[in-house]
Amino acid sequence: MNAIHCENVTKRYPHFDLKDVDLTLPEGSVMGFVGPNGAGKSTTLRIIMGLVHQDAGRVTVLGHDMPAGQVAAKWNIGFVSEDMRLYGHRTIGFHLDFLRRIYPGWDDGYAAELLSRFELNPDQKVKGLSHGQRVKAALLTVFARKPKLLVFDEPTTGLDPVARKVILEEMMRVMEAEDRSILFSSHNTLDVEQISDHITFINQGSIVASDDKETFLDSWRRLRLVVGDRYRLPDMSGLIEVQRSGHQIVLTLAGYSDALQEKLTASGAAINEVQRLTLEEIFIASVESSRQPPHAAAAGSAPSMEGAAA
Amino acid sequence: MNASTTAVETTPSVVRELVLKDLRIMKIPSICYWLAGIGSIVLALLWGDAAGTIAFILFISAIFGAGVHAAMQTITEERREQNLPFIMSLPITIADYTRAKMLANLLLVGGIWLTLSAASYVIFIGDVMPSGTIPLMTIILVAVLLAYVIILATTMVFQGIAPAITAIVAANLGNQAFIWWIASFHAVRSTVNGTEAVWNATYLTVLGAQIGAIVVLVGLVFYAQSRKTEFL
Repeated sequence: MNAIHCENVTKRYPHFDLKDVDLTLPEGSVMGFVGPNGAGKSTTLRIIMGLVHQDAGRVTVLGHDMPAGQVAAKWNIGFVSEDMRLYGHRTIGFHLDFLRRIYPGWDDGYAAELLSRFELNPDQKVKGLSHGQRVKAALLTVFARKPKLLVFDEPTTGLDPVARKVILEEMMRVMEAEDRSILFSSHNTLDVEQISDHITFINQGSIVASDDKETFLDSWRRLRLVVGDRYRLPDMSGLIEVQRSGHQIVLTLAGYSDALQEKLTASGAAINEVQRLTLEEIFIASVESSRQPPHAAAAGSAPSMEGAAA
Repeated sequence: MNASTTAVETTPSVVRELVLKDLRIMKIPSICYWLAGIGSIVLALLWGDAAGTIAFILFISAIFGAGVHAAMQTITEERREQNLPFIMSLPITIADYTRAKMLANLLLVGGIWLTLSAASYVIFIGDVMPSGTIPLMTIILVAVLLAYVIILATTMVFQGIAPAITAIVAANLGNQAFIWWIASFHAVRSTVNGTEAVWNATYLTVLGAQIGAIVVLVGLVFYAQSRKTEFL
C-alpha cells in the first residue's frame, strides 16, 4: 500500500505551474523531496495535505482522496513546515494540552520523553525559544500524535548541525514503527541522504527524477576520458553532461553500467577515472540537465564532441 | 475503519477545541473590555447627564474595541504570525476553520455585547435617561454589533491587515454617520424624549434591516470561504 500517490497533479499560478507531478511514497519508507527554491516542493506538499486544491490530477493520501478526504487523512498525518509557527505568546505546554484534547492517540509519556530529549521547558513561551527549539517544539507536537505519515517541508532549514543531528535521529527513531512513512522536503542533500530510502528531485514545477537512494547512487557516475582529435562519443542512454577540454572529456552519466564502460573503450576513449557522485552532485546535475532545452539535454543521445562545452 | 464516518463524527470536537483555544487566548482582553463597559454604565448612573457623553463613548468603545481586538487577534494575527499552517494541519477543512472562528468570535463578542447591552438598560430604571430612548439605544447597540460583523466578515474572508484596517475605519465612521442619520428621523425625534418606549414602524424597519444584514454577512462569509481552493 502507498502512503502517498500523486498522479498527473497540476496547479497553475500566474507565474508558476506545477506540471503533471507523479509521486509515490510506499508505506513504511522515507522519501527525500529535493529541489531548489521555488521548484514547487511546498506547493506539492500543500496539495498532499489538502491545503491547496490541485487544478487537475489525483492525490491519494493514506487511502483518502485529497482534498475531499483531508479530514480523515489528517488524523494520521503530522505536518511541519518551515513557515509554520506555534503561538508565540503561549507556552509549549499550552500547545501540548490543546493537541492532547484533540488526538485520542496522543502519547503523554512520549511527549514528556521528547521534552527531555529536546531539552525543552513546557512552561516556556514559544516567543522566547531559539529557532532550533521552535523546530523541536513543532516536531514534538506531531511526533506525540503518533501519526502514520509525517510530512515535513524543510524542517531542518536554518538549524545548527547539533540541532539537525538531534532532529534527524528522532526522525529515524520514529521510523522504527514499520508502518510509518515520511515525506521530507529539503534542499539539504546531506540530510536527505542520511535518512531517505527514496529520493525525488523536482525543478521548475516538474519531477526531474525519482528513484530509491541506492539506485541513484549506484547508477550515477562521472567518467574522465582521454580521446583523440576527431573522437565522437557513441550513442548512449543516460548521458547528462559532457565537458571537453582539449583531449580530456568529463561525462556525467545516469544509468552507468560495465557495458557502457566497454562501449566507450571500444569507441577509442581511454578511461582515466570512474567516480561515484554524491547526492548533491546528482541533484545539481539533474536540475541543470532539466533546465536545458530538449535538444541540449543529452540524456538518451550522444552529442558530438565538436560542439560540446569546453 | 470507515474513514468518512470517523471524519464526520470527530470534526465537531476539533471545532470545539479550536473555539475554546480562541476563548482562552482572548480571555484577559475580553474581561478588560467588559469591565470598561460596566464602568461606563456605573459612570452614567453615578454622574447622570454630566458624564453621559463620556459614558456613552466609553460604552460603545468597549464593545467596538472587544470586537476589533477579537477579530484581529484570532484571525489576522494568526495568519500574520504564521500559526495557520499549524491549525490547518489539524483534521479540519476550511469550512471547519471558518465555523470555529465565527463561533469563537460571535460567542466572545456577542457575549460581551449582549451582557453589556442588557446591563446598559439599568440607566432607564435609574431614570438617568427617559424610557423613550430605549428603541434608539437598541438600534445603536445593534448597529455596533453590525459594524463588528462587517469587520469580522472582512478579516475572515480577506485575512490581511490592510482589509481589516479598512473595514475598521469604514465601520467606525459608518456607525457614527448612522447614529446621526437615524437621529434625524421625525419618528425618532418625536419619541426619543418620551416617558415610554414607542416601537414605531421606523424603529422596527431599521432593526429588521440590521438583523437581516448580520445574517446575510455571516452567510456570505461561509459562502466565500467555501469557494476558496487555497488557504495558506
